[in-house]
Amino acid sequence: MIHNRTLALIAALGLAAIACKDSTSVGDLNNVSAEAISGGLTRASTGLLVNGLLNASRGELDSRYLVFTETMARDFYRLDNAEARYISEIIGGPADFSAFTGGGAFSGMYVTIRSANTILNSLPTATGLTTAEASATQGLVNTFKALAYYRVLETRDSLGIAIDVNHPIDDPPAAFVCKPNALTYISALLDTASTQLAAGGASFPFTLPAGFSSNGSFTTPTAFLRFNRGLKGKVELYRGLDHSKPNTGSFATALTALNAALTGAPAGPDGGLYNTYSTSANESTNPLADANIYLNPAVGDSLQAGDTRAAKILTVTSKTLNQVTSKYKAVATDPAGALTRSIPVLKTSELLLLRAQVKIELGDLIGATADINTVRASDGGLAAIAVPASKKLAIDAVLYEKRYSLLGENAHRLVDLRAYTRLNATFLKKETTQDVFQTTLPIPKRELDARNTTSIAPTCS
Amino acid sequence: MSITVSPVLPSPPCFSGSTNQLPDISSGTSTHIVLGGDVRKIVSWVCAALLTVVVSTEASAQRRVTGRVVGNAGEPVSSASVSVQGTTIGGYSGEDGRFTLVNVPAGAQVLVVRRLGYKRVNQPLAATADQIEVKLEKDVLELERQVVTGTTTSISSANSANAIAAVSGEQLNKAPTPTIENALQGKIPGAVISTNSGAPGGGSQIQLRGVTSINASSSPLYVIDGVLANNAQILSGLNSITQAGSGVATSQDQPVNRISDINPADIESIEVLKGASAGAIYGSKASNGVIIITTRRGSTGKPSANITQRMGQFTMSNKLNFRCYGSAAEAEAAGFDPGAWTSAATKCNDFEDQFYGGNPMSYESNASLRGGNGGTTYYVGGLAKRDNAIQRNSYYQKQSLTANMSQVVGSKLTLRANNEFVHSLTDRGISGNDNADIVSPGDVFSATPTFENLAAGGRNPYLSSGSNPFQNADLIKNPEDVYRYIGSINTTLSAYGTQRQTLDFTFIGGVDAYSYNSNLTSPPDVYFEANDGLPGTLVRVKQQNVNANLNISGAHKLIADRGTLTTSFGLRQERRQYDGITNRGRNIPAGVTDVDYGVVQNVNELQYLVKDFAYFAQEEILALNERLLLTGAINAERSSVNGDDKKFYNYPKAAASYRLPMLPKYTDELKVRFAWGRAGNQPPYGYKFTTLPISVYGGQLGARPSTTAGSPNIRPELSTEIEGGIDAQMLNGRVAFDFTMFKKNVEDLILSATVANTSGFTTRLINGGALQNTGTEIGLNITPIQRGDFSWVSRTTYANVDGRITRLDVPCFNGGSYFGTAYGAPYVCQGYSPSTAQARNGYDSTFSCGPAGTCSTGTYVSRARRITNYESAPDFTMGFSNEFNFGAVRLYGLLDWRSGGYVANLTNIYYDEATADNLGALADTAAAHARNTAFLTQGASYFEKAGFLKLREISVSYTLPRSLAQTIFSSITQDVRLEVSARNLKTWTPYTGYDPEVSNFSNQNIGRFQDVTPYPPSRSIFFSLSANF
Repeated sequence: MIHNRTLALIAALGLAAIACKDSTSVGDLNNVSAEAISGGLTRASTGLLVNGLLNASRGELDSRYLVFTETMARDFYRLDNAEARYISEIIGGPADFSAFTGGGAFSGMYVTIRSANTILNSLPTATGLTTAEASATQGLVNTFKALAYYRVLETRDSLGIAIDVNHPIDDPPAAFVCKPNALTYISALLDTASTQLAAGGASFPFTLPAGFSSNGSFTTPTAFLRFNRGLKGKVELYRGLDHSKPNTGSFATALTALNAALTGAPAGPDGGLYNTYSTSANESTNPLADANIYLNPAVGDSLQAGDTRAAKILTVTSKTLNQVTSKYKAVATDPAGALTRSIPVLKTSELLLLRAQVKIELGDLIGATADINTVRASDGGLAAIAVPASKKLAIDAVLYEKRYSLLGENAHRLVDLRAYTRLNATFLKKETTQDVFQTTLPIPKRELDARNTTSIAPTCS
Repeated sequence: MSITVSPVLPSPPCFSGSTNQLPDISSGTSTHIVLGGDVRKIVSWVCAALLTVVVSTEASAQRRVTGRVVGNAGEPVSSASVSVQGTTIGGYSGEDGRFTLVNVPAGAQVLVVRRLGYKRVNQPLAATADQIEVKLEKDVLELERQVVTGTTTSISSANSANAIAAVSGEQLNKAPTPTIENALQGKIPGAVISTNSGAPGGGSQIQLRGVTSINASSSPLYVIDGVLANNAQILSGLNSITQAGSGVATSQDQPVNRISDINPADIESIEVLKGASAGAIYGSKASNGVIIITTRRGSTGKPSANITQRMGQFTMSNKLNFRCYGSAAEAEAAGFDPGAWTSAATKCNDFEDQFYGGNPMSYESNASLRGGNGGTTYYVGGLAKRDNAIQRNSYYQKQSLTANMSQVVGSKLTLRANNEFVHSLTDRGISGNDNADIVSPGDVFSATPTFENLAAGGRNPYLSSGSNPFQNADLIKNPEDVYRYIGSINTTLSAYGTQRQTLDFTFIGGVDAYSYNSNLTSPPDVYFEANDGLPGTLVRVKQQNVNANLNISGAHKLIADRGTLTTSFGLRQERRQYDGITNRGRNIPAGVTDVDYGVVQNVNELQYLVKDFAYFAQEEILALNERLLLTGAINAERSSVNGDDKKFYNYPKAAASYRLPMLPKYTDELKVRFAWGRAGNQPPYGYKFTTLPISVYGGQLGARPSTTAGSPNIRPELSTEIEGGIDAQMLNGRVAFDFTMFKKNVEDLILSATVANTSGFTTRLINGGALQNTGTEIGLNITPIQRGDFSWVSRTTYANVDGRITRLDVPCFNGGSYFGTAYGAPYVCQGYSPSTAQARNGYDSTFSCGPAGTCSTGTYVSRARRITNYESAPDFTMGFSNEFNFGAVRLYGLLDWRSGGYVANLTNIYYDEATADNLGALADTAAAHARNTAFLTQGASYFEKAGFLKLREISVSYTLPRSLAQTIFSSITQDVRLEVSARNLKTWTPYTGYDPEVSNFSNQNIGRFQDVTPYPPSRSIFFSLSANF
């Protein structure tokens, strides 16, 4: 009996020993740990993070940013039997700040900004980069950071945006600043980037995606500086057009910047920097490839005779849903061809039309008309127009070209309608009974909840 | 530090009481594991108890007693346990009811005779007697049973200090159910069982005593014969078709929870430990409760067999009744082409009848054999079933084979092996939320007028994608195929035994392993497939899951004059492992079934590995003539998922029960009980890591910081529960009543908390809050009539839970999955119930005041959102079951009542048109229009009351006279029963949707109130023939 018991105890102890020998430590089996970059950057990890940043920047152009802003601007009507909110909230009642609608086109931009800050914070201690290469990297990163701030401002406009976000997660959330302050900041950031690119030597220390060289080359710091200047011109134009605090010097600054951007710009209206898409494994396809996206009938109906940009528009079976009817779709959204279609970030025709807008504000209607006619000829195959008789007619002319040249490419039309005070029933059809002509998406509820508040008043200096 | 082995005494594994460090045998380094004081105390108790093994004397006696155990009518009762009170001497009755006890002490004794299904008898044995007959009475209310108190210990329910709900195999199988959770509905007070779809084959969640976690696991722990079973929900990739969320697969894939693989017919009993006070011994996995499943075992005696054949039909339990258009003008007014109405051959197609009806019969065949002789007992069971569910071409099919054997080796060793092998195959079709190309049948029906003959299978002209559910159901296959083995070996060694004490060691090794394969195939000729530019979709999910656990324990029982002392101790090791590969190919040629043909490929692999290790010890004292039970236990556990994976977390428990000696009139038994305990809920795998997400752009790798901040210090949620209650038996066992109140506090809630998105983070994983659930559970079992051949047994259960978030370290937020406050979003906020649904409900507008103070007519200034909070959980739940036996006829019914609670009926939003009257897809356009108008002006008009009363089960059975049965079948037939049984036959509810129990996201802890074009729930009627041989 004792014998049995002893055996049992020995067995139990032996098993206990086996059990204890198996350590309980298990690492992360599915992901790369953030610790991989906490020890400082190398040339290789800098390249890895820059590609991640560019991918995050491309990710901002999701179906929300593009579809919501183009819907608010009355270009796109997404008619989805499963989801009425693309209409009911975007051109109907106010967008629900807790849903994908009102909460959209916000956090993605701040992910890009944090990606950029992660690189910028670590670059001073990075190894394997020359001073010029580090400067070029800073210039590129700061430019995309500025672009992310600008895009989130496009969607939130007068509500303001948070700027001072380069802080650890435990710090209090950054204050919201008003639109003029945000534009001032973005403009200055682009200048900082410009200086850094100018000191960036002959090449970037990493390979850039195909969209940097598919329609003209932006693969060197010098060439990429043109993209930076283009953005600068765009930001300055809307700084000048801001309702609450228009910046008087901005139009002149914008003209200088846009001239710089257009100097040596790739030939043709489509030259520029693009986001590219692919159907290869684990790559992203174009977010606009969506059979439910229709065009506001006015887009198809208002096209001038002979405009070759008609090729961008498809006539389809009429569909009525959620109080909206359409019979047009955009080629850019037709899944049959759009999955791998590139989306321009900034292209020559937009630069020309931005410059036309700047010239209009500077009173140079002749110069503006010349830029408009350049686009009309190269992009639309249309005859030149005479110099418009008034500023309003000139704006009409430039908005026509922008609508068709830049259809579904960014938030240009929402921004312009707002800047020219045209986002109202005077200029636009009231599409639904609940149509309130909302000018911005709301501050997402998650942002308000995290700040334990129900509204944020932006600070203005 | 080392293990102290006493040089003098035979060596019990006592850890030195003089230090608080346990050895780390593995590394040989100086890693120290710090145990709480509780552990040390328990360890010293264990040692003290073990020492008594050695010092006590061994009595010897030669008395031999033989006897017979019989039932009321004198029939022999086999497998009854017969023991001499106050000693360890005992045995079991054989097939003829006879037993023999040796070494019975001299003098007058009391024999304790127990048998499941009979009331316990304490039979005096005279000093001179060596023969005795014991008569047992049927325990109609099942008042007598053994309930689990530890890994290897149990106690009579008469003494249990916890309200442990138990359901016997017989109660479980009164009406055929697809899965065991369905079989438990209405039978467990304090359990709310919700279903995320009416689709066959499971998808139900059991919530015990309210919401116990916000973002960590919500599932109770399932233990099957000592094996910690896997109850994962595996995503089939249906999202690739529905695009309900983003990515290849999401939680909206209507997943099955895998506990549904278990065959209910193999179950002997289910015990439900509802919270920490009972489940502390299961440590960091017991906070949501523990469901202990014991499968059937063999019994000595002549082999007995059962064959049950069931045939039945599933039908729609509720229809929404889509609108019929009476004229071309009416069709035109509703926005449709009047010509289409005029040319339609059938003016009104009943989509629901056509799509959710006409399925073939379902069947279930069960066979089992049990028996044993010598030291061997065995149970062998087999099942083959196929449920042809209501939605076109959806089904659930299962085969299982169970072999449970036990063998006594010599006089000391008992070996038990349980094996269950299951194959299940299910195709649940498409249902629930969808986006983009609409494919969910309910959604398509909302967009298609009933004069369109969809059943013909042509392109649907009312959708640009042409999506037709009939074609989809015929061409799209989504079989989910599971091969599963659950097996355990349980070895008990009686290391030492005398009249007064025993020392047993038990070793349990168990494994639950399954492979899951789903093959979603949507060929390119499905109409809607071309819509995304990538016609044809294949998704292959291949997964391997293995849970393995090892349990080594010892139990020492010392029977003294003043009481019985049971000491158990041991260690437990668990490993849970998973590796899944999901591969999606889109744009595929027609006819291929290999995913590699897809032009666009997505590949994803996900793995996890969790290792847990625990020590436990427990002391039970049964004293004062078995009136007082005191229990103390501690479980110290570490796990690889915790931030500090070396740290042991302590889960103690203490409990007491007392059977009152002075009883009021008509009362047979009155027990007061009190239990306190702690249990945990582990952080989900990976919560402690902050990752660097990697992506591919232009053929190059990229990385960006994660938007989710992991917590390197994450620790388990800690649930502390106090429960107390009274159990009473009255009127000679005709009435049993139990009353329990509990208070459960969950600290260190694991939250996936909102972070200001402007920080570049979206989510932060933290331990950051606490909640409290209080509630009452009442059970009343009565036998109003028991007279000769006629009996009536009635059981009533009542439960309520009141939950509150008592602390939140982060600002209030909307948690879980939801569609927006316009439709209702789960709200996590201090002072609120965790099952709160927050909904926007209009605006309060401010106007500037005119000179006369006419503020309502001034200029619009601003407006503030108005928020209404709805409670989605029921106020209380009740179950009423009644069973009538009239000789050979039995009538049984179970009513399940859930009172209160709200559901957001988003399905109706699909059916209500956005504008003027008379446009909706349902007939009740006036009500539909009113709620839709209110919704469009920001009202929360789609929240509906969701209480219900369901006739959950009803059955009538007839047992053929034995002579007739033997004439028809064979002479070995014991009895043959014919039965007609039905489930969910009738529902009474104010809810206007299909069923208030269905929820689009019910696999999450909170937010189980969202009804989105679900797979409609069904009712079933089965005819069964069951024969015993």
